[in-house]
Amino acid sequence: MDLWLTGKTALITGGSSGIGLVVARKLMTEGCRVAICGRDKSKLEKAVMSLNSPAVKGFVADICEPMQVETLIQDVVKSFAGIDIVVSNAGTHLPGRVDEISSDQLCRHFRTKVTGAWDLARCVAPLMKEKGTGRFIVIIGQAGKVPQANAIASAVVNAAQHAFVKSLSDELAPFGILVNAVCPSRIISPLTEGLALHNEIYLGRSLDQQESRWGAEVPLGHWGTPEDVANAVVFLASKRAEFIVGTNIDVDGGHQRSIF
Amino acid sequence: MDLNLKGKVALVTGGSRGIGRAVAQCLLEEGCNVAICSRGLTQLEATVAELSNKGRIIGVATDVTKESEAHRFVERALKDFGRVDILINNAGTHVRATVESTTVQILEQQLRDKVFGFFTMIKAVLPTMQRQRDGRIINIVGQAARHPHPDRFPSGVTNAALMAMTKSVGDAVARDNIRVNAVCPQYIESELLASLIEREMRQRGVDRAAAAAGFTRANPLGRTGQPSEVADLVAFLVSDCANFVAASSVSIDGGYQRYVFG
Repeated sequence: MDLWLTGKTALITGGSSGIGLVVARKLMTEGCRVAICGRDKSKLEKAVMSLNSPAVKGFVADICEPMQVETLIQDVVKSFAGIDIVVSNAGTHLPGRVDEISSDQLCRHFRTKVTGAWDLARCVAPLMKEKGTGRFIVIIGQAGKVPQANAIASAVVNAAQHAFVKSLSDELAPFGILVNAVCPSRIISPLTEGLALHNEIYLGRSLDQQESRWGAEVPLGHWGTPEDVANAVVFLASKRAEFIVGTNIDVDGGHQRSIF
Repeated sequence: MDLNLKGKVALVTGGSRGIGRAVAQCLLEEGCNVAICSRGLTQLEATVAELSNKGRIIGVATDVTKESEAHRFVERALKDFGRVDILINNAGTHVRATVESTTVQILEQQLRDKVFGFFTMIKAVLPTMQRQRDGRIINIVGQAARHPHPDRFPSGVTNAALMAMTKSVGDAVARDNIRVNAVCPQYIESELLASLIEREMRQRGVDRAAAAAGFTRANPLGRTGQPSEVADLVAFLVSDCANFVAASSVSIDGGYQRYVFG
């Protein structure tokens, strides 16, 4: 399937490792020019080198800082003469119980995942509106849809990301800018190494499902890969997905429990 | 993006027109062998003739609500193509009526066409897919599932049941490496939409532009969708590129649906 992505410019935040780096590689393979952004200069340089293409450039920026986001977008536009696709991927999973996570930690997490994406949208929306086209894809961990005692901070922040995506989509769709999310869970990556699973293995599960370790291994019976997530992102970024707006694709092996 | 669909065998119910036909065409273009079915033979034969230059396609006149006919359709595909990798449950239509105007017969018919029809086809392909330890099933479920407005009571009830079925069956067969997902379209340009627009014109005494605006205004993108756009999403979801997408649904509606998490 030709995705007609050749010559498009894509920015991926949190692009120097894990899912972000694989998204960058896939978009590059599909013919995009790719800007990856990360906080750590040496990690970023290593990632750019690993992609080994003149179509890829690295940009150091902390998404939590509005001024840095503004400069980032200016620099990407200067380097690539425009920006067609933004993949908001920066941020991590914040495990822990309510008594282990301070409100300061929660706010920092919120800044990366919600206000970071907010500032990105504020900076790129005017450019995309001018062109009458654009894609804005947010990676939202499945804690947004799957509550968990030990991931209360992620659950709160990720739910806010969902509200952001749907509302932003309503605002920008009339201008041809399509906003969507991809919701991964149970993906093999450095982030999920040693991830502790608690009572979610049992809550809401039948005895059958408890015994077959559904909560841990998802209905499909195995974990996914960053490639699985990247495929959904690349599809949503493409011309093949022009009527998909304000929604999300679960890439979770059937993990989340809503029938809608 | 290589979807790796070459040589796969796909069954598309309601494949002679609209979304079903577009899905059949897209899967043919991706290299699948395709078997389509519909109740009426004339339109079915015409579609098979029109698409036959794109790849191997057969048509089998089938009423999917009848178990024996559904099994005959699957057996014919197995005989001609040797396996069944993909099922697209698409047959059936959208039924608008209020609670007052919906009779038990109308509701029963809609449940029979969609819930029983989809279920019968799933039951018919499952043994083959389980033997292969590989299968991909897509249920096409209109957004009346998420938005059961008062004037679309039969479709609202039926489609919500189909969403429950997608999750239940998806959960049950995931360990057999069978991925069941729903694709949820709204306001796709087809004969169905044309008839809905004409109905609005008739009932409300408005012109075509005003009736059509009622549909395009309902999504933030401000336009209707094309059957080929639904087909592209279906092709992605049944491909190896979506190997970790299971027991879920994807909306394709220009932003119509109002759920934050949906």
